[in-house]
Amino acid sequence: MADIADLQSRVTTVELTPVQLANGAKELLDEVATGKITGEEDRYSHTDLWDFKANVEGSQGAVAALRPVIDEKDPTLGPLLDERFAAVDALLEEYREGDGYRLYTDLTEDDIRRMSEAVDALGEPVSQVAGVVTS
Amino acid sequence: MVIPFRGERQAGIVTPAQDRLHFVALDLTTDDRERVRALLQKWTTAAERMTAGAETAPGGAVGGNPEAPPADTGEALGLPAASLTLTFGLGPGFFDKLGIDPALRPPGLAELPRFTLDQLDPALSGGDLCIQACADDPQVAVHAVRNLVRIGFGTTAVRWSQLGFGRTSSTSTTQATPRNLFGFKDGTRNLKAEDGPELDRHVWVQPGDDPAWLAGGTYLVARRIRMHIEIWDRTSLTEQEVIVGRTKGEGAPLGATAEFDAADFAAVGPDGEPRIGEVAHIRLASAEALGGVRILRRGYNFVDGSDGQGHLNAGLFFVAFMRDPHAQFVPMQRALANNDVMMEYIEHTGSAVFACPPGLADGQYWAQPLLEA
Repeated sequence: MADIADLQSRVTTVELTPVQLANGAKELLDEVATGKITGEEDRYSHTDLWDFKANVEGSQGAVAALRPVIDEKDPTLGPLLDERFAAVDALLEEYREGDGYRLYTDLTEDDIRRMSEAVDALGEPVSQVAGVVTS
Repeated sequence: MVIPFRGERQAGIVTPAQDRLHFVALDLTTDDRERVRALLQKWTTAAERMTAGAETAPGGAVGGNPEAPPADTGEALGLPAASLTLTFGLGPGFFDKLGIDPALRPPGLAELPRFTLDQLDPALSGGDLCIQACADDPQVAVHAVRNLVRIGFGTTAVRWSQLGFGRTSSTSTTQATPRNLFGFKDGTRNLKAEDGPELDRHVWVQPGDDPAWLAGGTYLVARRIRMHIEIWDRTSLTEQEVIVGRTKGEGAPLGATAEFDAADFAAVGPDGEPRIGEVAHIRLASAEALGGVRILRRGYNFVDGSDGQGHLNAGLFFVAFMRDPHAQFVPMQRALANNDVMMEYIEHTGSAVFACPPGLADGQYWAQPLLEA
């Protein structure tokens, strides 16, 4: 526990540049696309949707921190990001079971396809954030 | 070589068939008509640039903000236009999802009947939209599809796509007839660009046909035809020629000597049997046997790796353009599916129909005549 407390205190003091934040938002979604949706990472626990949700939240948090700059540089990008994050959240809610989510092994091909499409739809505008905040 | 993107007709139909294909069918992931309109405008701009050999946007590959992902993916940098054509079509779902006035829906998009021996895979069939990319260089065709798919994320998603590596039809009398993977010349009697009035009769939707916005356009029927080539290869030359109705070397109709000799369907051999058999492929598919029906074929050979059972996953990606699929493709395919001995060596695994709007005037975007009808 001491280690975790130490880590937490250090994380909050790390200063990230806007580009690092933006790339972090993108990379969290890249992980979803290449690891979570494919069911590869949690090969034994099948808890991929928990990680999926955590990554999306992390990405959304990073984007939120940049939002004032985004709105200043490209007023059309923020609303698009809101809409696409909301679409992914709404889709994940369909798979909520109790405190968690359906196991990856219980998903159909069609379920996985819908998730993949939603993450592609979100990934493109998130990939634009770094360029917009540095423009 | 640059094939003009704009004009009375869409390119990629009667323009000379290039050797390489990347065909993609997409589904709409939105029912918002304005979103779709905005995408079609972006697609048209990028498509026009790419057919001229340019990037999707000026400086798209390496000239933008280095902190941002490049607007163009870059693999066509330094390559010529390579005769790239991008042909656009609309499937039934486009009309359903956007709630378009039923009076504007092309009747030819009605579902095709199930044909004998069809083995259609839903994952290789249908689609709300299609883009047919043909080029002399496969990398140019793939670059075009990849970038259009990317621009579409959030509005469209890929349903299926097909690569083709060699044309199986000529669409101009200036082209030599190519061979399909059965080793036979294919499309000798195909409709060709030089056939003027015949094209109006068989390919282009005419003024007075329904709906008005489609006049000057056409329908595209795509069929993914898996060929069991290993089985075919164990068949004698004589049997192969009897099945097709042509010689394998020259491509002449049986009983004739040269490829473009007329097929004499009435000729009888010394054994009293028809020279060209009653169920020979060329007879069943002929205008003579189908009450005058003809289509314009523009298909491609494919080999999608192997099938896990020691066979090549090979075949013919059939693409044909016609004025009315139900009056032309359906009777032809029904005759073939029911009687063609070639059916023992092939399997239809994918199927789709699209309505291809007429060509674009300056400033117009894909499907504008429909969306602003």
